[in-house]
Amino acid sequence: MSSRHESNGHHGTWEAWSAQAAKALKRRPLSLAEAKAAFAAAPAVELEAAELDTICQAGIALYGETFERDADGNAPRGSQRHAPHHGLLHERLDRRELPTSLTMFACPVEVTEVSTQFTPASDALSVDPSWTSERHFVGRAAWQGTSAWTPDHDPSADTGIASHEVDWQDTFEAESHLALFDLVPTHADVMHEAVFSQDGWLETV
Amino acid sequence: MTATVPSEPGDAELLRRFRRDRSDGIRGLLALHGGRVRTILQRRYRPLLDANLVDGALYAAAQRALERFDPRRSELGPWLLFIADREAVSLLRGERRHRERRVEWTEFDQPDLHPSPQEQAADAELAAAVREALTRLLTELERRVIEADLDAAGTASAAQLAEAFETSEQAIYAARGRARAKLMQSPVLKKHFEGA
Repeated sequence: MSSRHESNGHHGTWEAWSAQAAKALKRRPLSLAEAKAAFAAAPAVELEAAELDTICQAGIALYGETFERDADGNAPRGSQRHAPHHGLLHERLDRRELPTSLTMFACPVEVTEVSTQFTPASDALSVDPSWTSERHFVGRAAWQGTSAWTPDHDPSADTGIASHEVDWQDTFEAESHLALFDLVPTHADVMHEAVFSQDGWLETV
Repeated sequence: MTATVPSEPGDAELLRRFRRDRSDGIRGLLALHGGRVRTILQRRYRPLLDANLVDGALYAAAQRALERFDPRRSELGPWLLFIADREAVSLLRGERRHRERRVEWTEFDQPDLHPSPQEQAADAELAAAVREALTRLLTELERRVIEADLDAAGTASAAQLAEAFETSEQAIYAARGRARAKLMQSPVLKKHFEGA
């Protein structure tokens, strides 16, 4: 919206106020937990083929033929899986849904060897003992911050992580842990983790 | 760590279909869960969003849901709703042509881990003052605009609201301006505004 339409010229403040008021009124987009509850409470509705066509046509009409591509015009992720995307959703971690015990996030070296750039602040949550486990895994950025990292050991897009003894289920916790310590993964990290998560999962089912 | 994976067996098949053929995967997901999610979206966002926009949001969400599905966090159905709800709000904010400027959802997905009693009290105070203002201070159109802004957690698109409320964009801007001026008559709301 153009600010010339704002009667008071405080657009940014109104945006913040509105978000704050929406939060206070619990009038906000669904959290994942709320989405689960709403989904479970709603009756199943079968769509007819014509309705499916309508939905698909509406999406294409709205976003255009190229909406599958990212903002830089890169190919869809099926062919170029690690191109950073704008507007990522899945990495917006819902802290309410984190496990109470964050028993992972470690790397092949002691945490004390992690670059200070990635070391959690001392006044953050207490570090779980498994932080120093040798079996667990860290996000790409943190891994590169360790003394164990070399270009040769840099996890490649599709095979690097899997070559380590890593439980694929740990990746979300790694991300979560990064976030809790305000070590925000980059988009590339997150996409890497997300792809790995799906791959690991598909191999198990 | 061993974690329970909530995903249903059909979820994996849908993801495989999506990887083989994106359109086929999207249609498969919509066929399975789209009807239910569409109903929920319509209940939440009509008439602010017309039927085409709700369907467009659902289609875009189906693709993103499959791209970014995290099987450890949810089954695909609720995951689709979770993302579609955000798509709908982005459309309400008029952001469909500016994907790079999409809403950052962090503030919704990362609530305070342990809100203090003071923060809880402040939220309650703000909520009560907003409810009071909505019912007592504002005209019908002003209230609907402010409520749409609340649904958008920011500022709803004037063009979108003009269409939904069958009026002009200028009328929306004017109503919003009047409403905001009235809201600032409340000392409580003014205090929160100045602190925002």
